[in-house]
Amino acid sequence: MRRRFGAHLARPSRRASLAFAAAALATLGACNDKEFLTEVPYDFVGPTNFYRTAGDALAALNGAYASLENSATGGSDNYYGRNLVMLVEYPAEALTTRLSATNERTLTDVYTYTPGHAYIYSVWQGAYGAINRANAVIDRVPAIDMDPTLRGRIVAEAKFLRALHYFNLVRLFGGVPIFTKETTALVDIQVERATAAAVYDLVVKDLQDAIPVLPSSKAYATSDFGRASRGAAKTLLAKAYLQRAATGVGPAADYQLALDIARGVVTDADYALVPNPGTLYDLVDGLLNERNTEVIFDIQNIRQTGAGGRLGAHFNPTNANWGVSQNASFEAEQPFYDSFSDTDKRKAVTFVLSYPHKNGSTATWTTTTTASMPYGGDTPFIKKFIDPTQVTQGQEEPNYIILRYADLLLTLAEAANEVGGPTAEAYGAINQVRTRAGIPTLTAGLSKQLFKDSLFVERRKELVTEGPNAFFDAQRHWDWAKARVAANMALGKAGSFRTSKYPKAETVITDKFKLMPIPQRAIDLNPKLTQNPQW
Amino acid sequence: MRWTRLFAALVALLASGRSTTAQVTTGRIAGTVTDSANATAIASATITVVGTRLGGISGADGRFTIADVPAGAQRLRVTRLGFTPLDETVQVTAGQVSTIAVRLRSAATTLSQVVVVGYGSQRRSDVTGAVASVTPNVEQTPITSIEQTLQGTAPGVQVTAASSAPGGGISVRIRGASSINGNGEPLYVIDGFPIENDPTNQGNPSDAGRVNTAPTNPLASLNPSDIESIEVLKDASATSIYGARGANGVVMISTKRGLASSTKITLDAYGGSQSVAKRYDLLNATEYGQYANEWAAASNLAKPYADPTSLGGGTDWQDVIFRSAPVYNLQLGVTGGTTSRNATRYALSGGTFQQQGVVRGSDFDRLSLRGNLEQTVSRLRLSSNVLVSQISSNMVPGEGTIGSTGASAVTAALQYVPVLTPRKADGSYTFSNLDFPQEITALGVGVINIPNPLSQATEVQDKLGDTRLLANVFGEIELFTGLRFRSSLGGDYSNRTRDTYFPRTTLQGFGRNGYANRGQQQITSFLNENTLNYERQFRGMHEINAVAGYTRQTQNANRTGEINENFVSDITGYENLGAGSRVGGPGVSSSHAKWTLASYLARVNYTLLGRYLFTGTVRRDGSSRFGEDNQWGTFPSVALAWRLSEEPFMKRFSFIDQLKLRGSYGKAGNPSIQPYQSVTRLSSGQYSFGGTQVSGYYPNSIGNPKLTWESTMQKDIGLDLAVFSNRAEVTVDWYDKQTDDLLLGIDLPAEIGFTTALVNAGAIQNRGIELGLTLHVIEGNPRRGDLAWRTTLSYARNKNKVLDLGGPTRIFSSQCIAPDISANCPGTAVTVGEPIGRFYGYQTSGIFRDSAEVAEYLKTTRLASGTITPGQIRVVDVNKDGIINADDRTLLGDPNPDWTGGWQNIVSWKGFDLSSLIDGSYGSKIFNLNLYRLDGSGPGFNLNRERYRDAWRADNPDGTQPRLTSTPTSVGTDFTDRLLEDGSYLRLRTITISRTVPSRWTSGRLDNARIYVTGQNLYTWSDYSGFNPDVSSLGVGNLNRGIDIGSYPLARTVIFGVNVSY
Repeated sequence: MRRRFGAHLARPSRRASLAFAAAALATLGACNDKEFLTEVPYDFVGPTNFYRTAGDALAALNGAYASLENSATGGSDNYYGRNLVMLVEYPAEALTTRLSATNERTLTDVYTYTPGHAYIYSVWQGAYGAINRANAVIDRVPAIDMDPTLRGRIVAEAKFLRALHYFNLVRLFGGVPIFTKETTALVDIQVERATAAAVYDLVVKDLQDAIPVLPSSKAYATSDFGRASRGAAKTLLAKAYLQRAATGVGPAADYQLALDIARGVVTDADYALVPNPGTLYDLVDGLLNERNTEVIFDIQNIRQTGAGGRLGAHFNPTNANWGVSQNASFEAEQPFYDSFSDTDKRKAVTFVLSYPHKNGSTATWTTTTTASMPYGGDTPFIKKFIDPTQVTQGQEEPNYIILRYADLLLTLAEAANEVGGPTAEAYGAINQVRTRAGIPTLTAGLSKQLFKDSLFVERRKELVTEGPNAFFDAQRHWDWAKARVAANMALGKAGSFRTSKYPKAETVITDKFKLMPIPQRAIDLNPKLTQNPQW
Repeated sequence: MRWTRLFAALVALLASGRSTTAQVTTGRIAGTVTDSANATAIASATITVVGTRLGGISGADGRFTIADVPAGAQRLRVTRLGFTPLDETVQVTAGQVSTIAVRLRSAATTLSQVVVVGYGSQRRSDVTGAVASVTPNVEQTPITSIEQTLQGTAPGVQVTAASSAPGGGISVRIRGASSINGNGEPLYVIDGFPIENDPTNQGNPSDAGRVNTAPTNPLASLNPSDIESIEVLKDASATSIYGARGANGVVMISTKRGLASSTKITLDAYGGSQSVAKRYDLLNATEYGQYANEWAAASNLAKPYADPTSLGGGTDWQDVIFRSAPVYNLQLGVTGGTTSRNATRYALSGGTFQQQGVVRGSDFDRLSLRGNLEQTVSRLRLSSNVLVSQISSNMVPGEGTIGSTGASAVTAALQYVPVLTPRKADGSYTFSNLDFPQEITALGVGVINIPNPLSQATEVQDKLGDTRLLANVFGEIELFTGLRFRSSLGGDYSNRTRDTYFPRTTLQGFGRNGYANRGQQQITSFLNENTLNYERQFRGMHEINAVAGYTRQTQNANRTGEINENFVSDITGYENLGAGSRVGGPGVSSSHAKWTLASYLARVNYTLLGRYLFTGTVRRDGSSRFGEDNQWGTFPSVALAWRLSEEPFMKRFSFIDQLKLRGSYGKAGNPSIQPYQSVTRLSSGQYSFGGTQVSGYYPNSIGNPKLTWESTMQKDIGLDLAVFSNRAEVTVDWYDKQTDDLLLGIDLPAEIGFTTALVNAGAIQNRGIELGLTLHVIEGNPRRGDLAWRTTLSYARNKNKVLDLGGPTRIFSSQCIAPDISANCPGTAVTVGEPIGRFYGYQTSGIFRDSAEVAEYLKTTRLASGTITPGQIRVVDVNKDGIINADDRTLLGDPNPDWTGGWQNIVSWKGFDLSSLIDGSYGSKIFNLNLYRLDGSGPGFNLNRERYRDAWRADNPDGTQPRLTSTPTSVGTDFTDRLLEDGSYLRLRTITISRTVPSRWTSGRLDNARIYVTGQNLYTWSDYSGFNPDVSSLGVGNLNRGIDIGSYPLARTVIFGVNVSY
């Protein structure tokens, strides 16, 4: 019999051959499939190639600061770029809009907004996006091998930013879900609302952590101008204590804490009022005033895409030859304008009474001006953050002021009044602001209540469109604020002043308006969220 | 790099295999192969000794010899294209020559063909899956791109043209669309090398800042003349061997290989002429003047033209930019080899293809080279394939836009008024915004800034280059009887460039003193495959054919782009970017992405008694593109087939030659996740300190480590039948595909800091039937000049249905941000329970004949804004809330056809061949955006002649077209069903008459000589008013299909050609 092909192969050799082939395949396969399949980023930055050096730590922090800027999560208008400022400022009696009754801005002005209001959800998105960025810094930077002092400062700055965002959220919505860790996976993404007290605890804790680490504003190098400082953290903490007590979330003892912290800022003497309110705001007098002694924390805007402001275009009168205008959104309500005495130096700084018209003429507001005239508004527009040399929205130069010394002084006065009535210290603080404005000092001997009323009027005049503060102030003096808005609405309904965009019947401002509704979209996406009462 | 180590190991392995070779007792086989019908010798038949690597090829005299055949009973398998394969047993005696005479039966029955399946080939009668074979008869029907061969010939394969431009994009769907956001194109496997044709991934390099251009065809670089056969793998049994990449079907392309023992030289050449197959019927200048007068009168304005007839015919803008254009092809090939013990086989070819487009300024050139070399050294077989090609084409920019500075030459030609001339007296181009007739602008008519069609077509330089190198080397060794080990290394390199320059003579270049944009893209892909193949028969009852393997593939894509403007002069165009001075400096960009894929695969084909067939397949794919937690996926399938015709009880049905029932079930995936989608990305953000800008990074997208492939489960039941001596062959398939884990962007709770993420959710279903029928109506022997007629019908129905969208019941295409749909941003919607990508907009019902009808309508319906005048289109209050607003938009037509099919005929008689292909599609709708402007937007644009002639007028209240003087509907420019047209068509795609030159004419010096004439797209039966019903301008994705925006017109081509072989 003939041997079959291959039969010459001795069995061991044949088996060896097969074994060798199998072994070869197995070796090839086992040879680091995991390593072979690991995705390596080349043209973008990912967690795997970032957070390694001091430069990365600073860049991560810059990214957290940038959430105050155009790159807010979800869109450049979402947060400080527009919507937060409008949402907080319109509900008070100082401002109105020239837009139609169905415009989102008007809705907040006349209290007809609903949980579906677009700005409310966008601020929610913007603030939480900013929190995640701060969380990324707080989580990742401590592990970086770098100068420990700088590392500590970076984490403290991020904590200041996180506190600011949570403070905004708790003031807008009450208790909200708390995230203190960077989100790195799509697990446990639906979280219930924490209590307002828990949110405040986080704000206080972050600021208390930051205060001993952050340098004084004077200790920062010139190139670091604009970073969160010890004074900024203290001022924010004073405001947080005050707000917590006044909204009933914290005990009355918080007033004392607020007072102590505010006193500390005064004692530190890092800040002082500038002599002339006109030199507070960038470009109002044609000069950059951002490095003055009064500003405690402001958004650093420069004339660069991505690093410039967007609000100026909303302040711009429609017809002004000042670059882009976005509907001239900030128009004073007449009674608010009228409440400024002519000697008040703030009047000229706060209102645009005339401007260069696109047609070459000068448009001027008088008491008989209507919206159809060249000026373009029934009542004066607000001036504070206009950039007359603006070319493009998003490249505006003026810094937006979040905290400044006048606010701190008024916070001190408010806390002092709550602790022990209108003390000399309280009078002293408010009168510093009034005197600088060029108006008489506050009449001595006011009751605690009257002092408080006067103080809130002063806050509105001093701080309108800054902060933003208006709606948050109203929460601390709710019945009074409600009454003022209602009175304004009644005047508007009666046609007593021309700014009225109010509907035929004014909205009844119930206590549900003391908090913003939780955005409907947020509830849709996270059914664990509960709605605020009566919304 | 690890590759080198791998390869070294493989070489060592091959070498070790070789060392086991030893002297054995062998004999030699010598034989002849003849045609059973007429006893003439058959050349180029392949003879293999089953179970060994031994074999040979018959020469021109039909003779072959095989040396070193182990002694004993050996089975020879003889195959030859066009003949039924035959197995013969021969007794080999050591040291002697055994002779055998093989007689092959000429029967081009599809059931007897050998088909290429993944990682192997099978006789069709052994195939258990749904596999369609296409043998492209390129010599008889010249085509420019390989996908065209699938059109109308493979049931269940739908081919649409994203652009009819030379080299334009073609979109292929096998058994419907099974993805929403992912790639819908099949996987192409060229000589074993898988190429993912993902247009969304490849794109045009660096398109930023350039006008839209319809996607170009990434497979256009392959020369169709080089292709031997194409197999379309459709069901899970066939596709799951390609695992995570098989869900859209697999197209296996095999290039020609060396066959003959003697050298054969072939020459194929053709040349022809193309012209625009169909045009829009638009107003001439006189009619336009009348229209303008009528429009003015109805608007209470003075008539602009006292005597319209004095305007004459004016400019026919379609004439201006369309031309009749030549096409040439020349292909030279050499094949040959030796039949000695260590055989060498080779095939070399080179080709040049040149095509001008029917729109001036467009063309397509391709140079291609191909070489196959195969060397047998004892039990080792080495083989290499190399394909090199270079494409250089000029594009007409702007397909895909309607009414802006970026409008294409084609849309501009449809809109430009006939009273404008192409050039002014000084030779410069007219521009609609600057040079519009004053008579018309005086009416206050809005004139949109669109480019001069001629300048857009001829002045804009928009050049696409693609250099491609596809090379594959493998070594295969027989370890012992039946067991072969193969290791291959392949590379695919593609360098694509797109260079654009808008000189001052164009609208876009005019304002900025020239504008240049260049983009480059290099994609390099390397593949290493190692497989063990085992083939064995036991006791004549069991037959096993198994394969197992491990493969790795890596792809790197690098892209760069540069733009500049404000050039000193137009002379250097895009060639000298440094000559420009753009404000802010030239723009630059670059990117780099990489993916890797590691796979284990195995397949067993088992046949019992020649009639019970089983196939089990599994592939395990690990992909870098999948999320960390889901990197590996397993894709199994099983198939059973029963060859009833082999059962004894069937023998009495002697008219049945073949009857096979098939059933398969299994899983395949669609990996259309772009690299890095599963990982967290940081974005840069800007801020400033101390007045100086600083950059930062922040997490901007949330990684999803669970992100994974879209997974398709498919059931298929099929039947193959051949009756009456294979005179009639039928293949029927029913399938049901369900794709789960669709890639969808979902909205996240914003509290986590991110608002969207890509997740796997949602499901889509495709169900359908496919039918293939071949009839040998008259089966004479062509060699004797008898009359022979073969006819083939293919038919397929597919029903597509979205089952789940992961929560929402309706989502919109991201190309059109719903619900802000404007006419330039067409509305399609994906709705649960509906086919994917249905059109979405306002529904209309006729024209208001008079004010009474308007009043009647307004009794129940009011408008959100505006008024209605008689002669406008009635918009339906779909939600019946009494107001016409955006909420009334609804699902309109479906871009998916009910059925597609083709009918092919080949008739031979006395050396003449007549072949034809008719293909068709029924039931689809096309959204014809070109009509949007031609629908009457005032005399700022030209108008459809029918639209003018049949318009509603006070004295023609029954006009079928709306009035001329205001927007056609009360909803203004929004998308209505008026722009939808029936996309059904039947097309005489090709018809060829050829004549084989009798050998006496060539004194026998040539083996074969043939001359032919071919007509392509000679006639289309369709109600569609546009250039081409077989269109999908945005059609590479699954969402926006069936949309016609300024599409490049279809060409009708007549070609004369010659094939010679020596």
